[in-house]
Amino acid sequence: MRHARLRFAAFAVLVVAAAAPSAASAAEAPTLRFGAGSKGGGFDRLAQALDEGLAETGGRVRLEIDNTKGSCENIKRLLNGELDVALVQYDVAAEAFKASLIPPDEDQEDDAFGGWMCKISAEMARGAELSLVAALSDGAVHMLVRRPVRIDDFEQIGDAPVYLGKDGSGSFETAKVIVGAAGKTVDRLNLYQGGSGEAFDELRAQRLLVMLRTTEQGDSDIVDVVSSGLASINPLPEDVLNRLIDGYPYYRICQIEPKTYPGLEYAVPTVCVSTVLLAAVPGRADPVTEARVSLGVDALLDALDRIASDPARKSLGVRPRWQGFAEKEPIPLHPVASERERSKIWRGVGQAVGFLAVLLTCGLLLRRYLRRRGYLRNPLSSGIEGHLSNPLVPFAGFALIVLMATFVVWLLEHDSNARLRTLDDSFWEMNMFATGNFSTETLKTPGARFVGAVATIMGLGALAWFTAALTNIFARDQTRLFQRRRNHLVILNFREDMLQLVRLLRSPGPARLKAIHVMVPEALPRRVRVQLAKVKSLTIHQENPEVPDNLLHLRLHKASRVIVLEGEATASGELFHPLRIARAVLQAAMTTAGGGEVAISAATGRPALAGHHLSGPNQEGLPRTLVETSDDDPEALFAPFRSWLVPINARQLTYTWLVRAASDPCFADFFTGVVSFRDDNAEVYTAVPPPWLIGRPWIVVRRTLYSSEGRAGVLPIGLHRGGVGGPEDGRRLAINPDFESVVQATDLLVVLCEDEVDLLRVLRRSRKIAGEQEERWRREQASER
Amino acid sequence: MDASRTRVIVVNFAPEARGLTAAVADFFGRETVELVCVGATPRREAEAALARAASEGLQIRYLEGSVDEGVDRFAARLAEAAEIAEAAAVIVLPVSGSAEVDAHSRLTCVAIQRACGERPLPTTVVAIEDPEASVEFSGLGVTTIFYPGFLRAALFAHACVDLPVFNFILGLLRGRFRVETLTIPEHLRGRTFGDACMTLERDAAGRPLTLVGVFADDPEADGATAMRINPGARFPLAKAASLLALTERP
Repeated sequence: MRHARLRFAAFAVLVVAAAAPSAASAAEAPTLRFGAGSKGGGFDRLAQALDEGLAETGGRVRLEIDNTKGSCENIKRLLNGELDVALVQYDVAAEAFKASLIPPDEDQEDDAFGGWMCKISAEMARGAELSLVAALSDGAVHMLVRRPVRIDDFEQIGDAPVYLGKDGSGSFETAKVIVGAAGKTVDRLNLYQGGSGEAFDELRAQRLLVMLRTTEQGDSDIVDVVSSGLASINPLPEDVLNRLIDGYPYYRICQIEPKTYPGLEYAVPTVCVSTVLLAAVPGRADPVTEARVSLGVDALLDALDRIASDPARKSLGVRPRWQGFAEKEPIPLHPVASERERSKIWRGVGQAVGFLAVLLTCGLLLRRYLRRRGYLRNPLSSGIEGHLSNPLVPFAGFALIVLMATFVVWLLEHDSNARLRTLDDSFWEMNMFATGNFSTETLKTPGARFVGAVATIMGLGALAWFTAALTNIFARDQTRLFQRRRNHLVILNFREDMLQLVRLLRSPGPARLKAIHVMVPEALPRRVRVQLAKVKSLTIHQENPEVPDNLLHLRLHKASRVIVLEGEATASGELFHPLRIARAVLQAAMTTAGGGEVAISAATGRPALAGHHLSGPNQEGLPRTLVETSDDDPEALFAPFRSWLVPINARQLTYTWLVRAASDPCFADFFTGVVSFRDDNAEVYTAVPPPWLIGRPWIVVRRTLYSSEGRAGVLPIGLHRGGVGGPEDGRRLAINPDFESVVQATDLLVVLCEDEVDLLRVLRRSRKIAGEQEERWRREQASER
Repeated sequence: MDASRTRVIVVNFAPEARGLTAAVADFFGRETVELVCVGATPRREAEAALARAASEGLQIRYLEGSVDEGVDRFAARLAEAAEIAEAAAVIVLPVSGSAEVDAHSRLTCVAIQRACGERPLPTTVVAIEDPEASVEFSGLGVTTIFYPGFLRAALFAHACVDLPVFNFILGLLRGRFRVETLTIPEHLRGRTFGDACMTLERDAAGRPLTLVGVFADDPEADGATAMRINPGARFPLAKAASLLALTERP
């Protein structure tokens, strides 16, 4: 406890002293003994950058850079107490740390040189307390092989000369364990002794077969030798990678990315090892030394952040990390680094929470908007049953399972499993799993295997669900996965004799075919359903149309028309009455138009029911609805709905037709010709008059259309006053209007023609003729006067 | 029997069809029409159904009988009691209780044809239940075969496509708009339908008139004419027997 207090006091004094902005205090800044590498090497460049970074971040600490032979010398000098901080390859550092954990054997003296990397003995390792400041950069093992040789087994090397690095360097130590993982020792290899520059020359001279070099990806020497075509980068064999990670989990499996080197088209599996900044405090160090190192670590971390964020120093590849840089990271973080890590984690959590909050808010706003626009179904109608029958749901579920398993398995094993180096590898493996191809060989860890097993079981379940949902759709004789629910036609309580209606709606007359939704009773014969299922853009729904909830998904407020047909009594006595269906239509349309909320009547303060007066379909979001009825007085029966619903007494109209036909044989032929959308020129359409016809008298418009050349010819028969909006009323229709009646912008032309497209084409081309006919009419008027 | 009235005969009348009496009264006018209903329904029951129309001034007579009693016997009844050959129009309704509704209607038409003997059949309209059965009525002198399902479908289809057009069709059906036959004026004989449209713009009373088609020789029926709606502006009137004009009832 006392020791800790002393340490804290010393640290505080040093921090205050180092923070004092005077020249004197700058000169008195504590000094850290820093172990770099050989002059001009990668470690040396890093050390120089750190020194500059320290100066740029306040110069709280000064570095006394020692140029050494590399990782081995650095670790030894750290353990001996000759250095405070040093750059070391992580495998070497982790081995030294592991050695320090061996308890001293009091009966037996430790060897001066141990079997650990860099020949460090346990006794030497116990000399100082190592702690990790940060991992700085990554190096990947490059196996360069003289072209055209390809090596997939180290046995192929035989007695050929091999270069593994300079003895004492981290690269050499890494190469040794790789060779060991391949079941060989370096003693039995024909090692080339020399520097790396000479080794590259030997490779170029075709005298060296293999060169193992641990360096950052994109190393310029390797670029040169690969681009010269003399050597290529070979992958480390998968069994070697797995054995290496199992024995030395201080590496991680990675890949040399495609295009990193000239001609490298595919990713090359290998191992990566990080360069770390290691701090050491001698076993019996005084609190002042500890505080000095702590201060130094603090300053170094600031300098590292600066270097990492400086684009000019991007080539150094510095990316400070405290975890996730090796399969296992046994060396504890220095307390200062640990504090930094914690605050970074909390910052990350805060950012994630903030991001989620924004995302959630956006989602809620979007949901509210979609509900108001009626794109989302009412919760009452979107039960589990509906989801079960939609094949898109299990499909999406399968995709979700695969994606989640991909991510989790990759997270667990990407550092240690050669088969799961990337998310892409993991994705395809999890696709195999989710389709039932579980394999224990693919995954190594129990956690990943558990995830794989869950993905297999859930994936098979989702596939079975998908198949069942599709089968269900086919059993219903229709395959409409995507249903248009805007400007659509809805036919409720369909019955067999109305197949004719569907045929007429799919006749080639109207310019645009609208989607049709047909709600059929259970009793509708299967042969009729089969016929309906063949109709383009027609969706069959089998539900009770008297229940508003059953109509919600039809989005009636967006429907172009709703037709309610009279039902036929079934054997079970079930009979849907048009009045009850009309009530359900009203409720459903008002609910969906209100974004899922039942509209409240202003008059009663209760949910609006069928009897309430309505101001009009456009204001209330109610669809124009036609109801077939045979009641004696349908007008009175449907009076509460009269602003949006037209009752059609079909039976009475039938009698009217019979009487008309009986008295006038022309009527039957003309009526049939006009209504049946047959392939002749006898269809009636309305069209908005083009601007050049507006303001002209009817006689001019009529003559213009008579004179226009269509496919067959158009016969104007009248005007519909007041456009398409507002309540529909037969009195707005003027057949044979007075010749002097002026065509208004809100009028519609009523025309007999071949089809709607032909009519629109004629109208587009009528401008010139309109002018001529206007002239003619004016001349006639003048002559009459 | 009042010879001054237009006589309409409804065969296979049933009480459910009482709405037909209203349609007849509306179209012809109560004072100018005599309605004769023939059906299998017992007289008392049928007359009860017709009582309201009768009380409103429609002249109605009910005769009990159907083709079920035998074609010849029924024909004799139609000839003698209903004097069907003298009628202006005959409407044959489907018998809903029959095992084969349209076959029953066809036998009814056979009886009507026999009842008229050598004389031409009045305008006869038959309502059928199965549109496929319409061919079976050829040769029986039937003027129009009517399938009520088609009427409903046509009305709803037009309501879906274009509401103003739906209103036009309703107006046509209810008699607001009529199609009239016009003789082709001599000066237009050698001209085209387009010329006629541009020339015949008003009727005799000076009201606007719209030509919508012609009656022309039917190449499929020897000597008969067929209606051609909107035959095209270049259609030669030399081939036409008469013109068709759309008018509005004042």
